[in-house]
Amino acid sequence: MKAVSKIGLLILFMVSPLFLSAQIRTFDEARKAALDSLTSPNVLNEAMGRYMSALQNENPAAYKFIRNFNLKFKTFQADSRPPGLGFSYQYDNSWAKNSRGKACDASQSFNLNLDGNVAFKKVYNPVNFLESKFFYNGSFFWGGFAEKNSPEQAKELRRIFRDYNDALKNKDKVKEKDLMASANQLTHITDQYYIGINGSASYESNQDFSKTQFVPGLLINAGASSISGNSALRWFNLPDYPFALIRLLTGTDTRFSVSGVAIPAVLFGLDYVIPTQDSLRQAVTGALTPFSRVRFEASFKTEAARVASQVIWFSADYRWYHQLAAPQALVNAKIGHFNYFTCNLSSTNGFFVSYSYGQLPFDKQKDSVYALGFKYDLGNWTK
Amino acid sequence: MVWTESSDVCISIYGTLQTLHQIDAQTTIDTTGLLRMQDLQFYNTTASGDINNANALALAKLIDVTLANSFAASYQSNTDTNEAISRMLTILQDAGKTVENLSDTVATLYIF
Repeated sequence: MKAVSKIGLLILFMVSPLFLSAQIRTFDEARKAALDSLTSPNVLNEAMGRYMSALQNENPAAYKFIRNFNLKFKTFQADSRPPGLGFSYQYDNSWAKNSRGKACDASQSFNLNLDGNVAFKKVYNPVNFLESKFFYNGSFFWGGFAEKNSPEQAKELRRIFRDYNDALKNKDKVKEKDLMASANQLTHITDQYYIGINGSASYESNQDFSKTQFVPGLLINAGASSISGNSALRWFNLPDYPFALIRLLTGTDTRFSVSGVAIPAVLFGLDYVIPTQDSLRQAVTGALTPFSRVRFEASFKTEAARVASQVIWFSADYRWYHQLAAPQALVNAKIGHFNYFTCNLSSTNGFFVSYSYGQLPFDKQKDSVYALGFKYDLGNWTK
Repeated sequence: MVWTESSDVCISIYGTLQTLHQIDAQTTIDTTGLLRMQDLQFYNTTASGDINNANALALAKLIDVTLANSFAASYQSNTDTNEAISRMLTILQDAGKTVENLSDTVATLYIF
């Protein structure tokens, strides 16, 4: 067996120059082949991988930064152009901090995303686009405090909710009411108010920065919740009054009770929009010029009724978009300003009735749409 | 983790959602485990993601306060308020996640 292997190796050694000479005919070609193989993406990626393994032990902080940076060597090739070597980079990182303060609680997060493709010869780059995006979210909360219970009180609270569950199963209304009153004695949560500020700044360019654009965005949102039944805040929830009446008439509630957690949430935003595939806008203005837009949104969701053990929710949302300093052509075509309203009644078993009116920025005309049906969750449904 | 009324985690989540009026008062524990985030009071399927994310954060803070104070839960080792809110927020922002999924996360964050 050993003799056979030796003979095989000898034959292979003798004929290998024949194979090589068939592939490489001149010294220049040999040099080019060697350079090509040394600068191929696979070799560079493998070298980078080995370097990272070594760095992980020597300098964990540097390793973590470079690992998040995600640098990858690759070959670019587009249409009939020759292939060009380069690299793509991607860096995504976020820092979140939820802290409790004396005056208010703060929840802040910072996100930094860098993404781009660089070719060593820029003419070979078919995806000549670099994007650096910074995103900040700061939400500030006032209230929403709960009294601290002792372990014994917490145990008692859990017992109350177990008994409450039994009372629901036995349809013992008197016991339900007494138990919920007892639970409320052990859960005092103050009204919660919040305001959120989202700021984003994106710097986009080609790889030699001869074309650049700055894309800012600003979003402010606010909301409130009133948990305690004694709070006066819930009486300011005017949109819930008709539903409080419906809940009373359908026997969902035993008394007229306005919801303190269904207070509408609102949002105000300033966007810098770069239209890319907006044929209507292109037809009207003749170009797809970036523009600034303000938007407003208000959303509302409340329990409408409980019918045959099904909870019926009413959800509504209103959106308003307005382009700043819109050209007269856009105003005349009525695409500088949009309103959209949608609402629905839906139950957890999938039944829904919905109504929508208005126009979103990509709609060609105002529509009034009614729908009625069942929504089935087949495992990948999200909305 | 199995969603059952005998579990202190599950009963605390159920009690928290009742206290915060996120479910109808007549909802039993068995039914609550199956509810998705979009079936709770705070999640509005007609609203934009910006609104729902803000509502989810506000609710995550209230759940943390209720569990830590009303239900006297303490944080697991290597967990604090920041970690608890961030982890619960990930569940709350996902319309398809269930209360049972939330309970699984809570079990890894708090000791009851």
